[in-house]
Amino acid sequence: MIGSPLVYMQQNQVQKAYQNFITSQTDLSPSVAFGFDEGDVFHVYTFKPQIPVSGYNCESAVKFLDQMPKGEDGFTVANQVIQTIGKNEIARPGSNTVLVLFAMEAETNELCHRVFIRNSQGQLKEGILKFIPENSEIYSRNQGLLETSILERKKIGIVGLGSGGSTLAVELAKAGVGNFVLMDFDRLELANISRHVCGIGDLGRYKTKAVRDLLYGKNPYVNVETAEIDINENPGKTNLLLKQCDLIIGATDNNRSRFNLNKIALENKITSIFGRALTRACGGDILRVRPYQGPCLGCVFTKEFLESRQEEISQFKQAREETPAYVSDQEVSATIQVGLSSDILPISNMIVKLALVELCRDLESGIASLEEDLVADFYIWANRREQTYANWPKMLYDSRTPSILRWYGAKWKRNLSCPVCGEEHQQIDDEENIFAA
Amino acid sequence: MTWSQVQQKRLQTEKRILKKYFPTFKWLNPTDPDNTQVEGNIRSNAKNIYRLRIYIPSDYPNSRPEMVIISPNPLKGYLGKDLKEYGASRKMHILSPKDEYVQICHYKDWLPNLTVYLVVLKGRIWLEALEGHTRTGKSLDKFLSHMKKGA
Repeated sequence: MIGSPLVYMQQNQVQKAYQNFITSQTDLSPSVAFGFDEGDVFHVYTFKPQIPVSGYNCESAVKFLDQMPKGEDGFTVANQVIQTIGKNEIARPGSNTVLVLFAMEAETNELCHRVFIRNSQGQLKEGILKFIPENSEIYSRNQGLLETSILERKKIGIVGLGSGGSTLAVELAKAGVGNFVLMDFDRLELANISRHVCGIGDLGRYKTKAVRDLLYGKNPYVNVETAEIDINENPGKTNLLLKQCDLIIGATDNNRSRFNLNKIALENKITSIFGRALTRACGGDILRVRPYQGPCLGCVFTKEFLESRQEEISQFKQAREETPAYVSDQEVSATIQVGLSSDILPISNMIVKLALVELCRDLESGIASLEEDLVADFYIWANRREQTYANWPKMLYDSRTPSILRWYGAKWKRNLSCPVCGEEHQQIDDEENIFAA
Repeated sequence: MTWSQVQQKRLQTEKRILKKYFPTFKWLNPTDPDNTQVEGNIRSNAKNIYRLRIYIPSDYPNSRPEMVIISPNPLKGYLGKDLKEYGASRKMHILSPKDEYVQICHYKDWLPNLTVYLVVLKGRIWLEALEGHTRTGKSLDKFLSHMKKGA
């Protein structure tokens, strides 16, 4: 048990509550509090928070006074107000009650505050009120390393919120990216939990909305649009949602959706990043596509490439869609071979680094040197000495030979005769074009 | 919905290639991405005529076009058995029927560097295998080997 209970409020909620008081002159406004750790910590909300809340429910109110009582007088006032709350039947006997007092100090013109907590035994204690600040202050620790004010304005589209996509979404929010478009039509199932950032409490929810709430938990000021759609079936809507993004990340588990994202990114000239894990996550790869400056997905994802680097099949649905109807469900199930969450994390982490480099490109930031390192458009991750990497030398003590648990950048030129981004069918003959509406 | 500029360029190229090798094939509803089809006749080595239809998906070339035999219908195999009776069959290289026509299983893992021309070519080869089956009673995979993963 700590000395004085800590009470947290969001700064913007206090400002709104004060504005309400000024306009309506209603000095007592009910609020909601959630308690933690046997009454050591409380979070008070004057209106419904964006983030999903936890903790146990407590009675709470915010009272605006003409003048803040000093010393013991505060306890007298608090007791009186809490009695009033009881009469108004907001309070429930036998639980903690949190009362926040505010008053405008005439001399300083500042809103001063005190907070009191009545415990289940009826004892009144004074707590310490702390404010959750505005966005820029939350990420002040990143300043110097990252241009948080720039990242705050950036918008990232993340398509696919499985184990990879969900992790990198949270990391990018932690880095200070301010705007997100999250797209996935799947709901969180029990089989996902062991590798996903969301937990049992989110079962059955759309992955988009569950991840959105995690982002709000990291930064309540982040803007998140979600779309629970299959991008393969909704290309128009997908394009509409993604065309304003500064960067698109393809974290889906099938090539059709990757190629559809590649098309949208090329058409809108938006840089995109695609990541995937190989079978049993023995390794992975990441492709960064800078439209028409380097290789696109079509330049790299050829038949030979896909044969030599076979993708991880992690879900029955994914396997079923990629297998002809005549293959039995039992045979399809046998193709599902997954790695651990810890095998996926390095791939997500590398995507985050590449994304931050793209978002801060040509700007003065603490990661400028990384821009000089990450010049390759294609990266290979070797995770375990099996399958593709079966013949690799053991890591041991030699850092001069290729080994697992390292990233390798590969030089990959744009294919000028690529059927997707190449220049062979760039000329369009209007007279012969029967495909224009 | 309309084809994007990039898709239009691609389809024009495809149309040019197809016309060169399969000149009888026609593009139907070409301005409607939800209903664009390619249809044409194939004459087998035994001089039988078959009519193929290819459905061009609205996200073409990013997803696989489906291919069916619309004539003759019903399509009969060994001893006059309707091929639709096989349902989806690995041995016969067919998927579940589409629009009540027999659907040919062609490229298993589709990639945008494949073309409608290559799909029709697969159809042409499948029809020869069908005639082999009709003559001998052997399943189609005795004449057509299965594609490996990634092919």
